Amino acid sequence: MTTVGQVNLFNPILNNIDRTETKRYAGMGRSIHFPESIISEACSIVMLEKHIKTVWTMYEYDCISGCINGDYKIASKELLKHLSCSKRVILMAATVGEGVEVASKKYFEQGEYALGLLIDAAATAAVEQAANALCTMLTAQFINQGITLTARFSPGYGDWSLEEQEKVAPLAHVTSIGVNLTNAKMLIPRKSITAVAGLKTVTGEDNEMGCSQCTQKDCIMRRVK
Amino acid sequence: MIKIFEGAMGTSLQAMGIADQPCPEYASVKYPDEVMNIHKAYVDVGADILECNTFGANPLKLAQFGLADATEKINIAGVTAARRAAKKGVEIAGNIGPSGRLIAPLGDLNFDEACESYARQIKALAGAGVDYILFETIIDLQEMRAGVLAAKAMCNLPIICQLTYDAMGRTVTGTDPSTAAAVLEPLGASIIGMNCSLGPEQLLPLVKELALSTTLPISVQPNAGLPFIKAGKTYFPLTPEEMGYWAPKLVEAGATILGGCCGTTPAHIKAIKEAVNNMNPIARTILPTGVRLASRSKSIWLGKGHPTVLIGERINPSGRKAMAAEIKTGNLTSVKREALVQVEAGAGVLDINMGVPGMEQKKLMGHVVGELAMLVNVPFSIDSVEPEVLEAGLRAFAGRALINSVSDKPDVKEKVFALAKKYGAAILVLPLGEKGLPKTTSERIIIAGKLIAEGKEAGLKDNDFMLDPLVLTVASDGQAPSETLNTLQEYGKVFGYPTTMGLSNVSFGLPGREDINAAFYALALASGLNAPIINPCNAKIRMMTEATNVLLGFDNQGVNYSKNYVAAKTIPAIAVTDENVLGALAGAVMGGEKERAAHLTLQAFAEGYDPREITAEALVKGMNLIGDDFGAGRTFLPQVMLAAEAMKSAFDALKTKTNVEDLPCLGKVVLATVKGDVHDLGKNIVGALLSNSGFSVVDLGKDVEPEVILAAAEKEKPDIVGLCALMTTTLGAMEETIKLLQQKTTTTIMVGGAVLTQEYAREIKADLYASDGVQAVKLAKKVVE
Repeated sequence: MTTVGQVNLFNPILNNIDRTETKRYAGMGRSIHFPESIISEACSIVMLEKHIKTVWTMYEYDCISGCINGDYKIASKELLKHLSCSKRVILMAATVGEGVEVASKKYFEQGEYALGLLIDAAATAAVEQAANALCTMLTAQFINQGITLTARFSPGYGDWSLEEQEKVAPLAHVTSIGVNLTNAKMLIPRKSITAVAGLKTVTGEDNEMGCSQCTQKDCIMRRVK
Repeated sequence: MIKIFEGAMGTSLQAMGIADQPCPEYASVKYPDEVMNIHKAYVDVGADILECNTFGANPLKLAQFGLADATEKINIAGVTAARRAAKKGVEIAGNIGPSGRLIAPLGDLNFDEACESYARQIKALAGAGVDYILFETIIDLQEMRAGVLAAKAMCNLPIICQLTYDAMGRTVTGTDPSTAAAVLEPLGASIIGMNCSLGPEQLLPLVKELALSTTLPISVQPNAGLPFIKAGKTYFPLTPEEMGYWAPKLVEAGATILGGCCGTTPAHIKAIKEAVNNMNPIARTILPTGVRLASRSKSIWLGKGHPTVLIGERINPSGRKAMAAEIKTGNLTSVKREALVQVEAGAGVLDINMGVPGMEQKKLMGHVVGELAMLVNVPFSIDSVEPEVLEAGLRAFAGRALINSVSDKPDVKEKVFALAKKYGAAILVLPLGEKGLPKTTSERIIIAGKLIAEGKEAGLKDNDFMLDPLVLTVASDGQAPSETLNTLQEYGKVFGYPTTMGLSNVSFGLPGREDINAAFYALALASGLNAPIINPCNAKIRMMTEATNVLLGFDNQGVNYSKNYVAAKTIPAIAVTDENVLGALAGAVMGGEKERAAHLTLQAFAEGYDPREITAEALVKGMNLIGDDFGAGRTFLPQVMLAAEAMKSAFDALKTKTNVEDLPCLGKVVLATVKGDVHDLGKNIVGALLSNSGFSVVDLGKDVEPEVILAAAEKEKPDIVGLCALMTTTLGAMEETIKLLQQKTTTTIMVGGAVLTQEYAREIKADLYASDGVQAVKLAKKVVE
């Protein structure tokens, strides 16, 4: 059983970097005439230089006021809608560490531009894979309680302002995995993410104070007709 | 007879409202009669084994409720409640669940700490008189290993190991049932099984898989289906009748002990009991012979009847000064690279030797094994002559490793056999006697036989041994290879265990060693070698392994062989048919062919073309063409960057023949990522494209203060200042910089970056907006025209 507010560390195993995603992040999803050896080299370098860490914490969530842990009020309408069936949320963070960035820069400076670019893309793929692995683990952990995880949602997506990183990062306990926030609200190491995912019932049915019981009939998040 | 476990405890406690005071296990102390009554209800419907209410009663988990000090009290209370409910013949299992934290390197819990926590709980349970130690709902194989090691250290009770699998048939940390069996059976489990998470229908194929992978009894405790919540209450959908329908199928699949996990009630257990009452465990298929090794997520067989397995030999700093020096500085890059490269080349097992002089090998081995297990998914062979180094590796490895090796060395061999037994490892027997190297086959057979007998005395079994025939140098003894091959054949006849050897030693001192090694390898395979310790990256060895697998019938109709053969063929570069060398050079730039671009540049120069003409008519033309392709969506950024690389290599070649000042310079650009923004890849891309299109670029880097950019603009007097911002949070800094530049200079300001738009660029009064690097070059050219 998971305790609210507890900081949990998880370092997922990645035996490979997703090449298709790497190509997509490098902006060449449909391209075919490109040396596969450079993509392989970029993925290998990220495999060598990655230091993957993730952290997650469960909080109480009030879907009426949009408040996480009683003190952080969500302003994003899209996120409020996304979490409208949740009574608890998971705040998470993932990083692949500093090494990948150093490697990308090194190759770029050596004039191996394509490799530098692809290392950056492969590192993005890696941090996404890490976050996905965390979500898979959490899904398995909660399924037994009849609870499932919504898709993860990060500051900067949709109408959830990147400025919110300032509030989200401490709730996600980013420093416990060696991630810090700059004055410009950027995560360092750069290949790091924070996200929130809602916990909701498997059936999607609202529990106790769900929409069907809610008196705010004109609420934009209302799921019932 | 099929034995029956009791059903759910946790959900029963929840239903009674006593599960959270403060934790379910504490109910045994606070509400002993209620807990006893839950057990009793299961006894009444025919449960043969009761599971104590001690699932989370390990000190690590109890610490979350401030109850670590009450570990003994809670466990004893749990056993007492079950004992009071049990009638004659009913057995009691001490129930142990996860610690709640993941063991390093997956999490932050130290392996030894996990062992100690479990040991304390197990001591209490065993002292209170349980009949079994039951681990259940474990998701991490390494945590199960910690538990089994603790149980073996604290008591002699039978150990039941139940993991929890997801719908894909793996634990959350990647273990499948057959890998679990490969690790847990030799480690000392008495019964292997699964519980929780899935219903009986989903567990059925996993039970079938497990039955093919172990000789041990199998226990299964499904949930009453996947739960759902309605009006705040949790419901499990599977009825007792449905559970009764599936129970016989689980027995037919190989289960010998059945029970229920979350959501099951006495009615479910009754239905199971009645459905399997007259059934007996099925006779199981006999496992293949040979030795099985496993990582956390993969198991492989070695031996006769199985494909050749390559044991990668390259993670060994002996004789590799650079690797040893790097390891000494704490850098594992080349070790990791060797691991990746060898697995990529087809190694099925990695040998790990950390014999770095002057280093504490024990600590190093544990660390390296942990790190590499996060990188590759093949089993490891732990290679050392020091028992404590072997132990550090075996402890850290969440799988079944091979010990490399044991020889007839008194005081050491006993320790190595004990380690193999303790950690459930396989062991490589080296027939080296006290008197040194035995020369003849018969001497080697005698020593190997003696070591095997001693290993069995220490508790090892037939499927724990691998044999090395010893490889000596042919240059010093012409008969040595024949003796090795002969020993391999005799090993097969006398013992039948899988064989392995490091074969490169045979060619020492001779020229063309690769050829001799390859020939010897082929002969050894024909003589019964199963798993060479070898460099898998050697093309000849790889080809020969694949060819042998076809010839020995492991690669049906040579499908894999043919596939790899075609893939290995080099695909020739696209032929450029241009008659003119400049046209060919433009093509080479476009195609990103670095070496060819440099070569053609020198050729053009030799043919008398002026550097300016070469630049304009070939290099810039090539970049322009690929830029057009990019703009039209026919090509993508990495290809443009490759073209820039080819352009750079051509420029570099040109610079060897002419003065840099003679090369055309289109203009000067100062580039920077604005204050607060630490992204520099996008800016670097623009810089690379500009400088390879004939611009002189002054790169100020990332997170640059407006004043610094202004100072550079005043000093360099560029045609353009390029500013980059990648985040919405740093757009303000960009606006601030533009304002300052426009107050003090007349330079053209170009902006770009992921979050910028044409509209926003206009709003902050930038002169130009480039949506990407290619456009930045086009716009820059217009500025200087």
